[in-house]
Amino acid sequence: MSEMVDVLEQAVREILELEAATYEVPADLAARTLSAARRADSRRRDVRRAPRGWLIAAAAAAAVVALVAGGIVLTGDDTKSTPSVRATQALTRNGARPAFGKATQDQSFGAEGAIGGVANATVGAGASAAGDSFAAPAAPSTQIARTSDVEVQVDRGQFASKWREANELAARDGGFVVDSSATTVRGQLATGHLTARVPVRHLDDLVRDLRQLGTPIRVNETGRDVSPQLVDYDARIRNAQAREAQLLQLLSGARTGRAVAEIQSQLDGTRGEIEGLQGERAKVQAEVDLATVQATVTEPLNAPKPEPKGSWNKALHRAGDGIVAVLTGLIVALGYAAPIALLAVIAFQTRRRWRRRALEG
Amino acid sequence: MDIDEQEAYGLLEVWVAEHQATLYRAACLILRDPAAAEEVAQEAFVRAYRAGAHVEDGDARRWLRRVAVNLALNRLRSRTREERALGRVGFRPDDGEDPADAVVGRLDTNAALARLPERLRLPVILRYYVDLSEREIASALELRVGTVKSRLHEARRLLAEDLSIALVEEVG
Repeated sequence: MSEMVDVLEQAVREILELEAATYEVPADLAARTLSAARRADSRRRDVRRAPRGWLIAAAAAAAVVALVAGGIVLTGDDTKSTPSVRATQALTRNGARPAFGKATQDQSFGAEGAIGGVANATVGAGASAAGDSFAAPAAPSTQIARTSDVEVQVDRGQFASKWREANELAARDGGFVVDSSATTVRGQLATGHLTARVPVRHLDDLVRDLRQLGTPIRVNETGRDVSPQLVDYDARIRNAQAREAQLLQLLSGARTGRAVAEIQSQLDGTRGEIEGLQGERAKVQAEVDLATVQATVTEPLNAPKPEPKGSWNKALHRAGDGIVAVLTGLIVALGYAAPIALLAVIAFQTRRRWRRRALEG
Repeated sequence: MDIDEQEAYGLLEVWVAEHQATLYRAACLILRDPAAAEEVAQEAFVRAYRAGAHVEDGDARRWLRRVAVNLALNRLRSRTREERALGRVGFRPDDGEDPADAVVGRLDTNAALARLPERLRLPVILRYYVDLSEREIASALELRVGTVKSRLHEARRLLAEDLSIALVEEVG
């Protein structure tokens, strides 16, 4: 039994070794670690060397900032509003630790809206890392590519105007419509679908306005974390740039024409690789900066008829409805009464004939 | 940089050369996120450097392992909390594929391990890859030693079943 456990433990160790081996250690990890340690050390020395008066002044300034910020938080109504709360959540999500500037940033998030919080949270994380005595490299903030999908149903007869309005909404505030198509089947259904890209800080506003075009049927919001992709691109770009620098150094020392040609060819390839990676990185970054919105506007056959505005219009509308209702009721009543009346006529005629015969007889 | 600092820096270079790859891979196994693992593998060494004289050269491996494991587990906990919090408000932070999954998916050998639930997977990694003792695992995972033992036992049982099934399939 104990042998079996040993064998199993050995197998587990081998499996773990195999799995661990699939994670390639980044070539520049050691260099980055040593450089981070040096930075930590120099920062620690700077702090040690800083005159005491400066420390006291900095502490006093920090206390004033904290008090002012605290006052703003306590008195400002914005702090209860959703955008501010979401901005704070965004900070938390990014792993940012409290920094002196945080309260002020929260305020600005509150003013700018929730999505601005996501974008600005990078600043918060950076500020926190910079203000931290522990100088490990700043953790990359979470970069989310957001997508919203909104479907609204509009009142009968309003499709054209609402559809135009939806396109206008999507194109404002730096947004643009990528794709827009509308289909109308005469008298049956009108539907329009558009895809737009909008600056992420305006996403919530746009979704809110699109919802207000009619009755929301579907509102989906999704986010995709692209931070690992961006980190990966950054590392690959750094590696390629380091290789390029080495090649340039080699080129400057090359003596023969063949060596120059060979190095030049490798340089061209490396430059192409860097530009390709930078392009791909920019594409992913654009997904973070510009959110995607898909909006569908429909006017189905059984869409509710719009209520007329104004008391006269309402009264006339109701009177019209009343006439239609009375006439409908009469027709229905006639439908019920007709067979009964027919039977009554037949019975009456039969009785009259029967009595006439009785009299004649 | 004075002589002491030069010595400390030299020591750090040695530690990085000797232990960083293992710690990075251990963090990858725990977090399944190479980017986060990189940060853990850096932070552990920066902390060791800052601790300086408190870390004995002979004890550095053990010290670094413990710090790196704690950092990785803290990240895992905060990530789990974050995912739960986002889940409660209906936000899905990551609909895309985890790049780590692609790596994980390539290997058949680790399928048995990947099937283990998180509560069993972590003790197995800490015991058989990081080489921590049961007491150290209990301390890192904030569990009792008895619980760690029973989880390792359960994990071994499941792995034994799984591996024997894999063997039968292979033979068949």
